[in-house]
Amino acid sequence: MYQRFVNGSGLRIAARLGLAMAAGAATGCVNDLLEFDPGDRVESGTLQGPESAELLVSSAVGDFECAFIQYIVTTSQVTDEMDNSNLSSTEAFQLDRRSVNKERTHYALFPCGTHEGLLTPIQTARFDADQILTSLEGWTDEEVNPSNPGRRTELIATAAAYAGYSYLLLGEGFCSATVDAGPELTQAEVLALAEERFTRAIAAAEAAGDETIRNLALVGRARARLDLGRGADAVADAQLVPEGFEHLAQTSGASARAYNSVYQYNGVGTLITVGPAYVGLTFAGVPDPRVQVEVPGGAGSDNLTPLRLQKKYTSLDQPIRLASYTEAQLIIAEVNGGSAAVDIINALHDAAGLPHFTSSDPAAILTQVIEERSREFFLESQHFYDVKRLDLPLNPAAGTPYLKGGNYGDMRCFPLPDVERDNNPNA
Amino acid sequence: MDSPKWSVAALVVWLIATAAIPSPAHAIIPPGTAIPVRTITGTVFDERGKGVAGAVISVVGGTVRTSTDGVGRFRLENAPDGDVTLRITAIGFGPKTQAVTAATSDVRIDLSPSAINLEELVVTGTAVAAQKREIGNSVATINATEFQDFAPARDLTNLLNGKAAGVSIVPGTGTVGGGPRITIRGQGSLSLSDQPLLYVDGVRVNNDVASGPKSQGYDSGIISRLNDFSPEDIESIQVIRGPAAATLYGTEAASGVIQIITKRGNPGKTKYEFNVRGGLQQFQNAHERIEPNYYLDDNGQLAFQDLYADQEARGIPPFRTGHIRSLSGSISGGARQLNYMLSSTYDHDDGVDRRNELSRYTIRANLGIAPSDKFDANASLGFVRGRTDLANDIGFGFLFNSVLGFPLLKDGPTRGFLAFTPEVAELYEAWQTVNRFTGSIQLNHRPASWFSHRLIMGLDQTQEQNFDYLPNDTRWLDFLPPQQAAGAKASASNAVTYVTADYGATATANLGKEMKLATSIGGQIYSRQTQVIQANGEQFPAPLVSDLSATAITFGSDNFVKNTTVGTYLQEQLSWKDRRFLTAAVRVDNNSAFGSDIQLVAYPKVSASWVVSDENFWGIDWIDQFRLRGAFGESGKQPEVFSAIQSYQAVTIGGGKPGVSPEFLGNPDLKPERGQELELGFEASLFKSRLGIDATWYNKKTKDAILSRVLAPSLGFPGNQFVNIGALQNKGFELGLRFSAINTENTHLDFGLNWARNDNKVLDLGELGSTIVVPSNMDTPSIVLHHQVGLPAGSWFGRKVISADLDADGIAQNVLCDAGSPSGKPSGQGISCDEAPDVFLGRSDPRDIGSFMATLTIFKSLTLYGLVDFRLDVYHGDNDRVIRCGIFATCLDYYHPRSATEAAEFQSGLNVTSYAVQPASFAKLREISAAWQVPASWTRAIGASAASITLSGRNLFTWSDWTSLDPETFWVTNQFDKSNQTFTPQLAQFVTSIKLTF
Repeated sequence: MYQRFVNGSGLRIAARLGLAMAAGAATGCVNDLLEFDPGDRVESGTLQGPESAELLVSSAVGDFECAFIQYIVTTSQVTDEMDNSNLSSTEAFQLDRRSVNKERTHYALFPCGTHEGLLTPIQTARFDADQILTSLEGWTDEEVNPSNPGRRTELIATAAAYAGYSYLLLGEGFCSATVDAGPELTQAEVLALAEERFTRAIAAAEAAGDETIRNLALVGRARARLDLGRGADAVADAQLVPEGFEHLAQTSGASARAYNSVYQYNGVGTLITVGPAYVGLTFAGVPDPRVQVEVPGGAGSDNLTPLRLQKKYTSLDQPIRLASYTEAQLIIAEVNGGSAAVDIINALHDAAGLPHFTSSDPAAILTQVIEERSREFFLESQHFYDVKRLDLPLNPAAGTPYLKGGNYGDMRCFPLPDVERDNNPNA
Repeated sequence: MDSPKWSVAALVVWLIATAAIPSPAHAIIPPGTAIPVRTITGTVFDERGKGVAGAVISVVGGTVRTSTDGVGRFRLENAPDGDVTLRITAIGFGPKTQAVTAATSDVRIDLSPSAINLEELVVTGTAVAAQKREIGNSVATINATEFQDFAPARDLTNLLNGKAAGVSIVPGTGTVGGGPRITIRGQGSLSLSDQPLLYVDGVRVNNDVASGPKSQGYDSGIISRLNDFSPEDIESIQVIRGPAAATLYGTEAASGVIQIITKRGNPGKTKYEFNVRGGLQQFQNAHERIEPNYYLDDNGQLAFQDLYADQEARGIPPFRTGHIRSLSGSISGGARQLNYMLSSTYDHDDGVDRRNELSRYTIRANLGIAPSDKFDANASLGFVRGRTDLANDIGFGFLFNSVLGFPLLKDGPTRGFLAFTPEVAELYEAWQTVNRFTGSIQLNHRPASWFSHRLIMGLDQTQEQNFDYLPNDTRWLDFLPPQQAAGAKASASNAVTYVTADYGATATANLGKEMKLATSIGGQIYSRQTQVIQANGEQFPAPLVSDLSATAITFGSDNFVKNTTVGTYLQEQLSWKDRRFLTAAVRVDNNSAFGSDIQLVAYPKVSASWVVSDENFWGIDWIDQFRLRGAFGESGKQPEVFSAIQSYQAVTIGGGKPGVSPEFLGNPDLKPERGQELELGFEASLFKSRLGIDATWYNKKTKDAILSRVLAPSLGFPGNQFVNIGALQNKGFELGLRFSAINTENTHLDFGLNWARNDNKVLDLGELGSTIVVPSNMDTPSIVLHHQVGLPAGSWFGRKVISADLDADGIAQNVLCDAGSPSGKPSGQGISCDEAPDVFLGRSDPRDIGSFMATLTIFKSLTLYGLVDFRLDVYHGDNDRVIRCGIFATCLDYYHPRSATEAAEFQSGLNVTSYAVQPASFAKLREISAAWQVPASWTRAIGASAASITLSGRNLFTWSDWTSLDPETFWVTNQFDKSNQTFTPQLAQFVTSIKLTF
């Protein structure tokens, strides 16, 4: 019978059968079999419409908060705020001894919820905020929220403010940076982008009547302008910040990604320990309540570095201050100096129950302002760039032997990592 | 829900096909005609006088056939009356024809071994198995039954190792439960899994190499699903090496295919088989291999801390002697219409780490029915239930904490161990329980002599439960903060389901007197589903509470992943006089992981085989058999499941609110990699089967290579993106030699050599330039893995000091590093190390692999066997050396460097660490054994038909320059990153086995 197949029409029938099977594999019931199941992933296509605006803005805020806390954990180990007290990663040693080189990948690629990540969380937050900002500016009020036409402008203000803060951390943390796989930018250029986003945020917040976001952006812009060396412009913004203003980065104990990681890694995991310079701080013999450190005895998880616990954050869901009237005031104090600065310092001392500071020496006043910044903003993201901006002495000094091998370096900003240069044709 | 739909479709095709075929009523012999028949019985023996199991006996020119039982006996019913000629084939033996006169009913058949058994049947993916002589590519066959007789393997890893040329079996660790990474013909992919597909009785099954819990915070899951299958149940293993041979397996098969064929019952008397095995395993010379930790004491004098000796002095030996216990039994038998095999095995192995043990039960039931010559059905059902407790080797255990011990801590609670004292660390547990069912039903229908088809339906369901448990115990308080000392537990339920539906049909037609055409069509559906449900808890309220629900903080997650391949094939094979064969085929696939723009992918194949020695003109007497073969074919490798789509992950944001965050950039244009291979070779049997040669040259190119490209962080999407970019080449040869040095009635001495050389080279990286950095676990930033054009994929790179002087204090001066060359290789020219480029330090995958084995049989009853395997020209990353010499300064070499250049690197603060990459070439005395066949007179005394006693040893000696514990160990989860860190080395094993057959 197959002879007939081969010799005659059978071959055609076989060919048809084969083709039918191939067609069947390509279409029909086969399509059901090949249906894609996204599992726990959210396809980006489902998030592209204006109905996702609220979710994407709150997510951008969430990604920034995640990056912000990560920034504190990672940069505090480079400064004398925190020491590394674990043995799990040699890159962590490099952080601690201020000698991270550009070949390293942890600071470049590690995500939130680690004790070494930095660049990726910041870039993700920046990308998120810029993306939704662009989308919001392309949508109409009606599309975003038909029942609340002003909502779109509020969302624009929020997205722009958090974009500004993302650029701010990028500018402060890295010696140079790139954006969207673009060319390498200097710190000043990145900080200028932060300023620009804050300006957009302020304009949108004022249009929407959103005081919180306006003040948040004002403090942010003041910080960016201070970083850029434009003190007068910074003071102009800082003076607009109302007394009592404070904006917090939220955390959550429900997920490691949203933890207050300072508490997690110091109070729970003991992977990092407070630097000795912050133990027992006083002013005129009075303990400073702004930097409370407990020394329980024993060592961190490396069984080597003495354990010192910060008491500023005492739970996984404790929020962290992002911007405040206090920050604005200390910017004014730093720039203006003089009696105005002394008054600001003493207002802070009054709030902390410390004796007053008295001096008319500009240098002494500036030194005290810097000291106030280090205490007020202990573990709040400010100190790393302060060390660079104000050329503060490194502690311990460069060249000092490091307990776990090698010597301390003089790193004051993170290098643009090779992983960015190698994968960004424009960098 | 999906499979039945396909099943119905397959059934329809089957019914249509069978409807057009003459029924048995159309047979040549008119109904009711009596055919004179008789029964022939006999026994098939090997050259040692031992019965050959599984030999196939058929009548030349007839259709009846049978096979021998476990002791070589057979019963051939319905044989034609009168003189007949029997044809006998068996794996490992040359085919034989033997005349049987009408007067003879009980025959003795003696087979001679053959290194190139061209009649051996191999699985090719079509409806009917093909003889080796028909196919144009090399397929390695491992006769598991035979190896188990004289060198019993405790798991599939040991059974496979060294037995097939070009198949690299690299165990990641010597812990009990761990499995290997298998590489066939080199690294064929830059980013996708290089693991071959695994089939059991025609059904695709779970081949995860590392499935265990994420033990100790490390990605150290080392429990291999490969070892779920008991070697006692395996008849043979066939290894299909590359795309040219695996075309019909389609997408996913580019790295090769391993087919496991389990034992089946043979017609004849019921056979009972019992096997008892017991032995021990040790960490050989552990104290000598674990170097003390050196340091300068307060007086600046070199001192050391010997933690091994310290621990022994405390009366706590760091390692124990592990015991190996195994008990198995089987019942098999049947008649022509029915065969069965029931077996069960119990294994209990202890590792040298006190936590490490494995206990496992397996049950297998194979049933075959053949109601007529035209139809048979085979069911294969296997079940395994087991528990593996992981060793605490790289986080909590003695090895990690002593090899990386830190004398600065010697006066603290760790006594100089890195993080924990071993006795406290042993409180930690990580284990896995597994229940696995693998079942298949194969229906074979041969409605006409020219047509046959078969349907295979199968299921492989693995239910793992992974636990990671740190109990609440006050003893942790010396090492952990209170919250952690209160304990934690993680539980992950991992259900992996493979579904196979495979239909194939083959029709043959004679084209004249000498030519034959075989047409094969078929279609398959393969589906893999993974459901992971995870729960974590932290802080138990009190000691001795272990349920996760008792923890103060709990959280959980689940994840579902599904991937489906649907494919079909058409193959035509033209044969001439059963000695020249030409095959052409095409396979078309679709897969749910292909990008949205990719619908169908086609893979072609063409092959030729010519048994030259069967030609009339062949006149070379000393070459008994000679076959030339060649094949060209393609197969694929699908992308990772979610790699085509751009996606966000669901996250918790501040305040505990839900949010999303960028996760994967995705690539909608992603298509499968294409493995394209040309293979040429020959097989020859020389000097009356004294020497067998199987040689193959191949050139395998991977096109559209999928690369997991690290994204520039500035893009905003974290992680990697899979892209089709570049090309990769594996070119080399495989040589198998079998030499029978002595072949007398009482003495046989055979040698075997498997040797494969593979030159791997990155051909192109497209727009990404000439170099891509591959992530690694090295603890130094100055060592990286590169995919670099012109060099092997995953090559080690780093700066390298080439000259230095030491001053009076031993401090390196005038340090120069290699200036490199455009090819990336060292130039020998010096340059300041600050300006020096990374240079090529070595390949991470071996260039040469192989094994040498010898078998000596004396007095027909005592067989001595040995196997040495080797890997050459390979370099591994030694994290132990980095940490000990580059960070902690605890290695002796740090204080007494072997050279000024080495000292300069030690003193560089991890800036230059070429010492971290060390040659990992080795040769290992892998197996030796002595197997004694107990004389028949003795076995009869206990009512047995056969008995054997085997003494065997494994991993007894290693020749290597490797600087740490074992050149074989590495993170088995990594494809290119062959770096190690305090893994348990391969253990020396000594096992006694007793086998009884009734």
